[in-house]
Amino acid sequence: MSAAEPVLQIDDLHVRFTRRTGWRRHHVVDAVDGVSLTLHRGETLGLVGESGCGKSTLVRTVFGLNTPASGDIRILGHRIDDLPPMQRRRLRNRVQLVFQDPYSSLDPRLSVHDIVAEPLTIVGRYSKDRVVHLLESVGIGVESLRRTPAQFSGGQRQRIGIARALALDPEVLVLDEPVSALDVSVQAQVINLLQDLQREHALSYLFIAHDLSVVRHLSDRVAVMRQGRIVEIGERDQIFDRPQHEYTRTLLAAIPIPDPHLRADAPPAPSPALTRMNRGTS
Amino acid sequence: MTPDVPTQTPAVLLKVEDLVVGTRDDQGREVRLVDGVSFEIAEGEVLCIVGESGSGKSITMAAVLGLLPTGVGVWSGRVEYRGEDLLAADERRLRELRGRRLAMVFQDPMTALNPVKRVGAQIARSVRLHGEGVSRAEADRRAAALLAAVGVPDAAARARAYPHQWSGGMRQRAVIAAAIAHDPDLLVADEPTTALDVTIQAQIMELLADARRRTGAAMALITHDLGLVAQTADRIVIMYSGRIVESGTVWELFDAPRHPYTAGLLASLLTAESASGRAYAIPGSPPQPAARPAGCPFAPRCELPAKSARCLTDVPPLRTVTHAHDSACHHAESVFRFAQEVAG
Repeated sequence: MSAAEPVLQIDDLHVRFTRRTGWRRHHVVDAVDGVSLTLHRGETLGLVGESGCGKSTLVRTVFGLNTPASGDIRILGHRIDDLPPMQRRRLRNRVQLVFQDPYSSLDPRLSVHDIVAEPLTIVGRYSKDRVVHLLESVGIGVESLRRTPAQFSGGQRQRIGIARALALDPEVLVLDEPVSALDVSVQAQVINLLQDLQREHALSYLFIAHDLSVVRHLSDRVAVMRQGRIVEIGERDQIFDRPQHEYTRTLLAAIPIPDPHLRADAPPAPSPALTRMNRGTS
Repeated sequence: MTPDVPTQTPAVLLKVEDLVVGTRDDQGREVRLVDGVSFEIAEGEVLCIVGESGSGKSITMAAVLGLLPTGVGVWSGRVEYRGEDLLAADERRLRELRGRRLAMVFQDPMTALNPVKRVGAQIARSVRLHGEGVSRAEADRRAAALLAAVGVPDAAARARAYPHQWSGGMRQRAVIAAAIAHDPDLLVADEPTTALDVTIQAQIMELLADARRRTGAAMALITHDLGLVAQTADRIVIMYSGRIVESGTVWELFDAPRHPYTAGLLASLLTAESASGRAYAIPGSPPQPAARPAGCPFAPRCELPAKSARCLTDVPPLRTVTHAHDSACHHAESVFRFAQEVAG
């Protein structure tokens, strides 16, 4: 994986917020405190951390919504700050965001067609075929083009959000908690869709989540963030099987394992063969 | 509860029988949010009520506690707490019960706390309101002791702060402190950790377990998180589209689910084994309460090979399949094999 070309590089990024705490008194918070990350083509990098760790600030900074105090962000090898505005915008389009909440991230007054067409119209590449194709690629049929977001379930809305993010053929999708607002039975559908799309379009994912089981499922590499810093980064199995940092271990230990046989008060588990025999299904 | 371990059956604390909760939609049509739900909670046991949004899991417990939102009402059924008919109880009696015997912990502690009153004063008030002849000083002292018991460091000083000065995890601790102030019989916890980080979630779940050990209270834990369920439940009720589709012990449900919905949920769990492979996904999405399909509510999404025409026309009743293990599937007997297959 490391042989692939880097598509998104974050180098020693610092983002500071200043808060007034009194007359002539200020409190400086290092929300992002020297973060370096490299995302390679076709890979999924999971970014894990609890609320307030700075992961959302990091994402906002990548999309130019916060101004970094220092550090570099490179997209496809280019430093964004060095480019003239036109090229800067074109480069920024190579990185797209999928939001957490499909209920608030889609304009309720627009039809599905208009939602997906909007980014294409802005860059002057609109065609109806393209919109239909995008929606079909996420499993939304052509019969739904005129419907508004309210007529869709949460899972379908997230598919529409993904179709919109894919409209400009991006290299990188930043997935900010893309399934945490969805019903459990629908999460797996969206995760499978993300895996399929990644394979088809050679997409790179920066996948931000607090749910470690989803991160484990999707990621090639995992970075653990705490108090504005990356405390540990490594191959997926290394992070989950041989965590080095104390905080990573705490996070892993806190996940409730969905197997009652692994609780403290569990009786010894019967062998699967015995269970099958008892149920008369073998 | 299980045949091979004969134990004395503990007394039934709460009994819900054929509960129907409904409302009217904006066109005035009747919508059943909870459609004929029956279950019991025994003293000291942990019952997990599992379901997705719109399954009716929260509405069921809100109806039990007399906390339904305006416009939503109990249409029929029976709710008994130690033999007392709760649906016939007046607001005064319900308030007394909720204050002392049936305590609640909600998802967002901010909705349970008054933002303009100091945290300690709110807990002291709950101590005084529902306790007889407790002096102010005594109530303040008890409040500080309760906060210390739920792991709030420097409780006496922190009690003087306002809720917004507390973190989410600390606020949830305060809510639990108020809930256990009167040694309740039942803790109703509705998604108590959904708004919290995983490490805080683990602490709060441990705290709830500790509170139960201390008071001997039973717990109704409403959640969609099967990880939490596996770690805490004695028995489980799975709700789908306003109905109970399966119920049984935690062991029965995880080892041998008898409803294709439960089997699908378990198979779609992302675990170490499923890493980088393809997860099983239940197709489709849950129906809106106003647009439930005829027949089995899960039938449109069901991939059970045994699925038949009857599934699309007849609502399957909840029936006992094996001892203390109920399923509302016409083909419950064939689910075990299906569960093995989808689990991969």
